[in-house]
Amino acid sequence: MFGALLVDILIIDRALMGFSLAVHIILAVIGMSLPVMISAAELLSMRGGNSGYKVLASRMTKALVLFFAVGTASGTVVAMELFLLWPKFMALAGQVAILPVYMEVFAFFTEAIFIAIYVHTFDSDWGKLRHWLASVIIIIGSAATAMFITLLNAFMNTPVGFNIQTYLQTGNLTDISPTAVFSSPSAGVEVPHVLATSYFAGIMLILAYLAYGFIKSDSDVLRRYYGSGMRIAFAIGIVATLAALVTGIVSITSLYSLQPEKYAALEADLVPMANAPEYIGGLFINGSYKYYIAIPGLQSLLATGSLSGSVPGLSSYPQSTWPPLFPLHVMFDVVVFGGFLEGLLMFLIVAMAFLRMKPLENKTVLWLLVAAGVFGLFVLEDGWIMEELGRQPWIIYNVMTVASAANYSTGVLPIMALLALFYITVIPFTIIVLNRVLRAEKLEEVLKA
Amino acid sequence: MNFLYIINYVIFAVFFTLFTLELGVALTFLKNKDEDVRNRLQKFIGPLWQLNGTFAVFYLVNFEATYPLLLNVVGYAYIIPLMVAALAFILRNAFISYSGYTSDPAKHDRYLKIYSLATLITYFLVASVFASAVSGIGINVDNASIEILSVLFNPFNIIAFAGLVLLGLFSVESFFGIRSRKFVTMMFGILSFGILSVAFAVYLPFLFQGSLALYSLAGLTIFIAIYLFSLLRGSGATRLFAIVWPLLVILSFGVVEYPAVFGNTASLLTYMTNSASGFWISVVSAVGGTLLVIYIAYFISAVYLKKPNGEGY
Repeated sequence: MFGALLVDILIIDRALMGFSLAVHIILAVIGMSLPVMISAAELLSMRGGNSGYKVLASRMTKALVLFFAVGTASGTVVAMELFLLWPKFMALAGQVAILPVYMEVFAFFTEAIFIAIYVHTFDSDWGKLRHWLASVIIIIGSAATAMFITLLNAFMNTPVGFNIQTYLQTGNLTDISPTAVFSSPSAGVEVPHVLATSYFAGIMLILAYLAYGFIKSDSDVLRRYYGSGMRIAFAIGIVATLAALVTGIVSITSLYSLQPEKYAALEADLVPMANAPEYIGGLFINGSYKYYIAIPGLQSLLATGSLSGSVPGLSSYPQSTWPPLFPLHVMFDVVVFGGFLEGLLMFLIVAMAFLRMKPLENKTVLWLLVAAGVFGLFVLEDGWIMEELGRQPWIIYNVMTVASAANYSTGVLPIMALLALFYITVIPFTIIVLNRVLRAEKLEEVLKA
Repeated sequence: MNFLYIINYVIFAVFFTLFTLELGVALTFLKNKDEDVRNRLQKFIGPLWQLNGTFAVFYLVNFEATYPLLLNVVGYAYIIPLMVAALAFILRNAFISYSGYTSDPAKHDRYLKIYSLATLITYFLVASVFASAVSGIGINVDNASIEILSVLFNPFNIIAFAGLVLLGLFSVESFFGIRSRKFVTMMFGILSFGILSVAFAVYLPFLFQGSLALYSLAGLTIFIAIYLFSLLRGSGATRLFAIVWPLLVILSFGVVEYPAVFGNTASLLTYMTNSASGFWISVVSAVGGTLLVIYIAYFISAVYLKKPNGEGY
C-alpha cells in the first residue's frame, strides 16, 4: 500500500516536472526567437526599409514583454522544482555541476535588463544604433541562457567532474572538478542542437502567425506588412532548418558511443548487429518487433560511416536499465519524419521562389506554413520528451536513478493540480490579452500613418 | 564571516529589499484611489518588477549553489509554501504585464488588484519560509517536515510580517511623498522598526547573546532618526534613505544571525558546498556581480534618468 503510494508520488513528480518544462519550453523558444525577429526588423527599418518594419518590431516587442513576463515566472517555477522535486539530484549537481546554472542567471539578467531598456527607450531619442544594439544583447543573453541550461542536461546524460566509482561505492563525492561540466562529452553535441531546434521551432511559430495574418488580411497595406515579416522569418527559418538538420544527425550518431542504451531503444535495436538496417515504424508485440519497414545497412552507414559497421543492442545491457521501448522508437520516427516534412516545406518554398512563383502569397503554401508552425512545436516537444525518456531510469546516467532522487512528500499532489490549473488558465489568458493588445492598435491605421 | 555566506546573504538582502518595496507599492495600489499616485507608482514599478523577478531567480540559484546539502531539508519540508509562492509569482508577473497593455480603466484597475494580491501572497509565503528557517518554528529538521499552519500563523511570523508590511509602506510612502500628513508615514517607520526589534528579541533571543545585536540596533536607530528628520524636512535625500533603510535592516539581521539556522540548532556552514565549487562560485559571483552593477547603472541611466518625456517619479 505504502509502496504503491510512493510509486504514485514518483509519477506525480515526473508529471509535475514534465508539465512545467513542457510549458516553459514553449515560452522559452518564443522568448529566444522574438528578439531575432525584432532585431532583424529594426535593422531593416534603420537601413531605410519600409516603415512596416518598425511597426513589426514594435508589435513583436509587446509580445516579447508578455511572453517574457510569464516565461520568467515559469522559469522560476522550474528552478524551484529542480530542488523541491529532486532534492537528492540537486544535492549532487549542486556540488559538482552547478556552475552553468549559476552563470545562466547572469545571462538571464542580461536578457531581462536589456529587454527593459529596449522597451522603455523604444520611441525615445536614445539613438537608433544604440537601441538596435540593445536588441542584439537580448539575443546573446537569451541564447546564452539556453546554452547554460543545456550544459546541465548534458551533465545528466554524460556525468563528469567527480569520481563516479567512489561515489557509487561510498556515496561520497571526491575529485570534484566543478568546471568539467562545460566539457562533458554530450555538451558539444547537445548545445548546438538545442539552440538550432529552439530557433527553428520558435521562428516557424512566428512564421505561422504572420502567414495567418496575411491570409486574413483584406488590404494591400496589411498584406505588405505581413509579407515583409514573413520574408524575415523565412530567411531566419531556412538557416535554422539547416542547422537543426546537421546538429540532429550529429546528435543521434553521438548517442551510439555516449548512451548506447538510449541509441538502441530509439533505433529499436534489440540485439547488437553489423550491417544494421534503419527501421521505420513498427510495433513491439510480446517482446518482438513487427510491422516495420527496414532499409538495409542504412543505420550502420549513418552511425559508423560503413555499411558493415556494428551498432549496439539492448540485449547487451541489464533489462532494468532499458528505457521504455514502446514510445521511444515511435517518438524518434515522429522527430525524424516531422523534421523531414518541415524541411521539405522550407526547401519547396525556396524552389518556388527561384521559379518566381511567389510562394509567400500562395494560400496553400501559407496554410501549410500555419500548420508547420504548430507541428514544429509538437516535434520540438516530442524530441525533448524522447531525449528525457531515453535516459530512463537514470536522472544522472549510470549514477543516480530518478526513483532515488525523487521527493516522496505527499504535498506534491495538490501542487500538481494547482500548477496544471494555473498553466491552463494563465497561458491562454496571456494569448488573449496579447491578441487584444495587438488588435486594439488598429494596425492598418498605424501602417498608413 | 564566510565569503560564500556573505555573497548569498547580500543577494537575498537586495532581493528582499526590492520585494519589500514592491510589497509597499502593491499595498498602496490596493488602498489608494488617487490616480496621480497610482500612475506614478505604476511608472516606478514598470521596470522594477522585472528586475525584482530576476533577483528572485538569482537568489534561488545562488542558494542551490551555496547550500546544496540544505536542499534535501528545504525541498522536503517547504515544498508546499514555496510552490504556492511560485504560482502566485506567475500570477504577479502575468497581471502586472497585462495591466501595462490595457486601455480599459476598469480592467486596468482589476489587473492591478490581482497583481497586488498575488504579490502580497508571494511575499507572505516567502517571508514565512525565511522566518521558519531562521527561527526553527514549525519545522522538524530531522524528518525534514513542517506543520504548515504553525509555519504560517505562529505569533513570531505574524508579528514579523506586520513589521515588514509597515516597513514596505513606510519606504514607499516616504519615497513618493504620498501622504500630506507625514506624521502617519513616520509612525509606520517607527512602528515597523519597533515591531521587528521586539519580535526578534522575544522569539530569537540567541541573536542578542553577544553585543553585535545591540551595536546593530544602535546604528539602525541613529539611521532611522536621520531618515525621519530628512522626511520631515522634505530633503531630497529621503528617496535614497527609502531604499537604503530596508536594505540596512535586512543586512543587519544577516550579520547578527550568522551562521545560525533553524532556531540556532544548526550552522549554515555545515550545509555549504565543497571548496572547489565554492571557489568557482566566488569567481563567477565576482565577475557576474560586476557585470550586474554595470547593467543596473546603465539601466538606471537609460530608463530612470533619461526619461524620454522628461517626467520624473
